[in-house]
Amino acid sequence: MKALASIKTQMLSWLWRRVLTCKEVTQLASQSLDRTLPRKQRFQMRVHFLLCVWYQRYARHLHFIHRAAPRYADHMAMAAPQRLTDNAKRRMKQALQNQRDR
Amino acid sequence: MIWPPLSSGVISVALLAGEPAEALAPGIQPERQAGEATNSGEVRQSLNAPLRELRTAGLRWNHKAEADFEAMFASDILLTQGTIGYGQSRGPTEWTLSYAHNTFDLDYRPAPFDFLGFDRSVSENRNALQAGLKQRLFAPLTLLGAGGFYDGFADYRSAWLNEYYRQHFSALPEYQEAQPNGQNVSAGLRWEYLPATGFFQAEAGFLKNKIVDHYRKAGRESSFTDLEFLSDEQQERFNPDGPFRDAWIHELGPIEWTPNPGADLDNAEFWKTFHDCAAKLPVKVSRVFLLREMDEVSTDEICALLNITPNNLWVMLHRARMALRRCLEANWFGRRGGKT
Repeated sequence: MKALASIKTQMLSWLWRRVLTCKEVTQLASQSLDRTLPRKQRFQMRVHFLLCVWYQRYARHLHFIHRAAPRYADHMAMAAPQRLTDNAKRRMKQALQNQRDR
Repeated sequence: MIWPPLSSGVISVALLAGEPAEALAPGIQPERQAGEATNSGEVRQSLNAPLRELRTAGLRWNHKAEADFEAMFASDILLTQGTIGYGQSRGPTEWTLSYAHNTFDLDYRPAPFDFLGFDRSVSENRNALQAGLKQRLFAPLTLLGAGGFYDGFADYRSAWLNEYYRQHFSALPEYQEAQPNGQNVSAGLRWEYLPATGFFQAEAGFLKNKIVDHYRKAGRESSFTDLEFLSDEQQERFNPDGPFRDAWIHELGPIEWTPNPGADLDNAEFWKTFHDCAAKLPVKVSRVFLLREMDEVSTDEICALLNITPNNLWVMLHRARMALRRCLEANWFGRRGGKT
C-alpha cells in the first residue's frame, strides 16, 4: 500500500513539474493585464485555470482591482492630487525628458 | 552530476516506411531512370527537351516517414527524445522535414563548497523543427542543406547551468528568466566515390543562440526598484518544497470574496480601505501602480517616462497587485484575519 502511494505521488509530481506552478501563474496573470502573452502561455494558464480554484479566485480579484482602480481617482480627492489630465501628463513627460537629457 | 553517465541505458525504436532502396542508394537511381526513359518509345520524342525535364520525366515522388524515440537514463538524469519526420524524393532531389521533442530531467546538486546552492530537480523541454534538402549535382557529388529552429535549452548542460545561475543571481534586481531559443543553418557536400558504399561528407553550419543577446541586453539595463519591497513575493503563502512546490498553501490561498464585490465600489468605507492599502506600497511602486491602473498610461509610456525596462515594470506591477489584493482581502473582504 505504501509503495502504491509512493508511485502515485511520484506520478503526480512528474505531472506537476510539467505545468506552470501557482506562483508563476500569479505573475503571468498580472502581466496579462499589461500585454498580450504568447499563445503557449495563454494555453498553459487556461489549463491551470481549469485545475486550480485559487487561481480562479485570484484572477477574479485582479480583474476587480483592474476595473475599480480608475474610479479611485474620484475618491482620493482629499488625500492626493487630482487625476492627471492628458495635458499634465504631456508636460510631466516633457519635464522628465528635459531632466534626463541635461 | 555524473558525467559521462556510466550506468546508462539506451532504448531506441525506429520505424521506416516508403522505399528504403531509394534511401540507401540515392546515387544510382537517376541514371537508371533516365536510361529507361530513353529506351521507351513514348519518351523518345522528348530527347530534345531540356536536360532537367529529361531527368525527372516519368519519375514519381517517393515518400518516407520516420518515427524515433530514444531515452538515456542514469541515477540522477533522464533524457528523452521523440522525433517524427517526413520526406519526399524524386530523381536527384530529396527533402525532409522533422520535429523533435526533448525532455531533460535532472537532479541538480551544487558542487562541493558551493554554500549558496541547494538540491533541486530540474525539468526542461525543447522543441525543434528541422528541414533538409539533398540535391544531386552530378554523378559523385550531392549538395546538402539543412535549417531549422528550436525553442528551449539546447542541451541538458545549459539547463543545469541555468539552474546554477538562478540559484546564485536570481536575487539581483536585473536578473531575468532565460527564454532560450535559436536557429541553425548548415550546408555541405557529399562525395560518393563508391556509389551507395563509400562516401566522404563535409558540412559547415551556423547556429545562433538568442539567449546570448538576451544576457548582453540585460547587462545594460538601468534599475529602478525598491529592493526591500521586491524581495517579498509572499513566498510564505506558497509551498516551499515537496512534490507540489510553489502551489498555494490551502489555508493561505485566496478566499471567495463577497458574491458581488462591484457593489462595494459605491461604498466610501471601501475606498478608505483601498486608499490605506495603496498608501502602504513603497512610493515608487505605488507611483507606477497608479500610473498604470488609475491613469491607464500604457506600459511603453511608463517605461520611457521612468527609464525602466518592461520586465522591471511587470515585476513591480505584479507585486503591487499582489500586495493590494492581499490587503483588501484581509481588511475588507476577509472573514479571517491576516497580516497585511
